[in-house]
Amino acid sequence: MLQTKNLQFAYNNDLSFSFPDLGCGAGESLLITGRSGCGKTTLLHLLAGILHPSAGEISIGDTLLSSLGGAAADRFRGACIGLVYQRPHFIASLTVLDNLRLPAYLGHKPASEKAIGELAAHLGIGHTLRQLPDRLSVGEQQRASIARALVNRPALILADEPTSALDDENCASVIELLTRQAAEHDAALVIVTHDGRLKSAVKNQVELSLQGR
Amino acid sequence: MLLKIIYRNLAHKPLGAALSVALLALSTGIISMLLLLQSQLEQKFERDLKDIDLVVGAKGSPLQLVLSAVYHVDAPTGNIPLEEVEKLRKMRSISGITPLAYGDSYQRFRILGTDTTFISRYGGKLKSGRLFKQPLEAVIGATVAENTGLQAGQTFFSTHGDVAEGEQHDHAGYVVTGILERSNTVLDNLLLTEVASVWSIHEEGHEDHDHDHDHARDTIPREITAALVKARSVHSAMTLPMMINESTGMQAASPALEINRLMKMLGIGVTALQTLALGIMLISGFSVFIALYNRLRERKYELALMRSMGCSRLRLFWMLLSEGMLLAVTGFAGGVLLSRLGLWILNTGAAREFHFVFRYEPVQAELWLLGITVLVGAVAALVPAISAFRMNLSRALADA
Repeated sequence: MLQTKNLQFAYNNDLSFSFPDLGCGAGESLLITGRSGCGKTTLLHLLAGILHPSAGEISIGDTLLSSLGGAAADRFRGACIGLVYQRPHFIASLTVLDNLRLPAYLGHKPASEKAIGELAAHLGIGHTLRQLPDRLSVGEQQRASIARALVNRPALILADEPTSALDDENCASVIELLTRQAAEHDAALVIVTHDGRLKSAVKNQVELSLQGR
Repeated sequence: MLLKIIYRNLAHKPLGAALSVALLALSTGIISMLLLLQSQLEQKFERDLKDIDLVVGAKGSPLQLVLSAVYHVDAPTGNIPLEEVEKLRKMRSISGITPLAYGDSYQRFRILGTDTTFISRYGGKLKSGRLFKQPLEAVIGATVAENTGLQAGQTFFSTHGDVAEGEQHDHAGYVVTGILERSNTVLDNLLLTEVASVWSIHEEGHEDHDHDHDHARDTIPREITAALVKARSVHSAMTLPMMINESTGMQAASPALEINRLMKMLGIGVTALQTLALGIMLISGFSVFIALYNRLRERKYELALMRSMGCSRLRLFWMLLSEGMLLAVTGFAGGVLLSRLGLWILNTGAAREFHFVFRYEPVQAELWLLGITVLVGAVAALVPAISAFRMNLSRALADA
């Protein structure tokens, strides 16, 4: 599903990264670890099409993401990639339900209220749909952001430090939820983290080394 | 959905937006009211100017003469001998003369002694009854009929002078012979009668009152207040005033010239108000800018989030621009309401005094005003929209 080749990125002459080749099949999970500063977030943004690689290739399914330009990359990301962040952020003025509708709207995908309701109920946040996001507990917020990443049934889910702000209990349930949902939705799941607690939860792991300075 | 985001975002933190809308409403309100006043006053002035090339009356302020004889709003300048006016009638360069004699009033509406050419001049049509044929018969305008409840066949007693509390002439009553249809001209607010009625009321009055203008009956020269003159050609309309002003004891004034002069004087005030309103509009534009820019900083992550969900730069740009324009349109709507409220207050307060009711329908210039307001909103939103457009998504996401 996801395959990278000779991926490189340079912020400037002094700060550049080259990444090992990665692969992750549909329904599989890949954990990318490494100390801060080794380019984890850069890699994630490259995989999401937010940054454009200076060299190398990224293919997702049949699409060569690294060949897409700005607007096309935006469109592809909206339709095919779900993102989960360290801290759950929402549009504060919209209800949870509208926040969950947003990716479908922006990614030009159909999403019925019923389907969103079922997804939310499945993740245990069905009762929060009519509320504003900041009324939810941290655990509920992280579940809601996972739900948001799943709404468009993406081929690839990218998670950036999804657990590092959570306590052990929430950490375990969130990582369990992420891997199970990715498998159920037949999506490739890539998690970048420095959170050592996750090493036991995901089998496929790549460690990035400090480089480039 | 995008509309919902725009609306919900503005409603989420309503205070900054409310200030912008209030300022916009104030400025567009003032401008829209000025536009309405100006266009309606100009229309009214034009309509009442029908076919009057000159006004002839006693010496004094020409503007006052025009205001009193054509628009019936100011006091007359004095009286002129009928004899002199009759001489004018014989002149070749004059094609028509309508005499005006102000007498008294009835419930603050003026009674005007004239002849039936006055009614035809303004295109007045009878709604009921017939025209006056002899002294002490009167035809009344539509507004007068509405306000006083007078009907054809009824008798009324005039009051001396122009005030409601004036002395009442209860010895000789007028009979209403007809009521005019509404014509939106001065006719609506007048009670019309023969010139001779005005004389007869006062002559009979003199016998049992001790007025200071008490004269023996046969020595009173017949006088009228003014005469409306239609010239035979444009050329004679230009030359007549000088001739009349030099060779008679009367003055001739051109209503068109005087009204032009008046409008120019009013124009200074209007321009000052317009400048003030434009100033407020600039400030409101600035306030829209500040409101949107502040919210932009708070919302930077939200916008980044939308980008990460596939929202293109251009769409985000439009969204922020639309926020500014939505504020502008809301402010404009408030301004239109404000201007109507202002007119309504004018109408309830001063309409009777000026014999004029302002109408509420929009004028075309308000469309321009809408365009300009939206432009102000868009320009104010431009900087926030551009900075959202140029946002470094990777950094914005990493910074949060």
